[in-house]
Amino acid sequence: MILLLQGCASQTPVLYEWGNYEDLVYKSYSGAGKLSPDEHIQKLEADYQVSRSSNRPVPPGYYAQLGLLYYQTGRPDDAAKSFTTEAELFPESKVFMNRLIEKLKQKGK
Amino acid sequence: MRLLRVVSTLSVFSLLGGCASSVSKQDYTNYRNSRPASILVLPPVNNSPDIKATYGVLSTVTRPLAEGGYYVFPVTLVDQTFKENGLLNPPEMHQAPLNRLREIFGADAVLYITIEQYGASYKVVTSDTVVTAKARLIDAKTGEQLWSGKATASSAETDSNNTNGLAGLLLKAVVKQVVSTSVDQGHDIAKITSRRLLSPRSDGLLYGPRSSLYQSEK
Repeated sequence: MILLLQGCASQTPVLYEWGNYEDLVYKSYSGAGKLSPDEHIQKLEADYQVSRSSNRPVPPGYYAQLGLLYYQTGRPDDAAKSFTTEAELFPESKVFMNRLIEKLKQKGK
Repeated sequence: MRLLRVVSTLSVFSLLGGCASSVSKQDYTNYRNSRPASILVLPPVNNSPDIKATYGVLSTVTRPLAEGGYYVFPVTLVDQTFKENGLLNPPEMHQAPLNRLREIFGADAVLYITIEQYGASYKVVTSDTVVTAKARLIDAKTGEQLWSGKATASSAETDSNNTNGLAGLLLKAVVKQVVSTSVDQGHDIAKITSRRLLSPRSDGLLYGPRSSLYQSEK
């Protein structure tokens, strides 16, 4: 009975390992002391390790964000790979990710 | 013994009924028909004087929506895409035609957020950090409104320590202003506002397809 009662107030299990994803988004926009793309990449990659050890997937947008940062730091191939991974993990993003990958290809020519 | 069991079973049902029975003010007909799986959150329009508000809130919306079972388009890339297309600020972005949004992002639904209050609100004896936002979820195909809501959070909710007399109150107000600006409290409060606004609950958004509670609502 106690279990059932808790059921109605309980939180559903967390779906994703959030790490610093959202705080990094905020920091990348906050004027002074703004986060550089390189630092941003490092911190996101560290989050990935946490996600592996906790066995919870990284959140939607994680790979797309990494892709943007790779692009900004002159790594278009890694960027395209990240966008592809985002689309594989979340097919809902396919239209947008394909568009970004197309754009990368055009710029590479 | 058997009677006891029946009684306790009944009471369980009535209690369980109790938590699902709050009468909804929302009409979920369009929402249920639409069944969006992905949500495009546009950078929020900021009606507060604090210029940090748009990104202070935008950076807190992904988590409640994704944990609710939706795919949330990567907020920074969405923002950047608008800017590359010449829409530089949120009011302009909110005017973008839905068919274009569908074409570019492939989104099922679009979330329009307006920030009404963000940051310190200076009153005579106290300064609380308040973030208030409202939101509308629109079907990207039909343009129909699926849901709307509003939420607020305030630092005053957590620090209810009583301070003695007016002098004490004034002192506390000054201290809080310093603290508020130094630790960027607006962003912290925005996280609570976004959670209240966007986590599935009674009168709130419904669970999305990636949640185990999808379509569990009565």
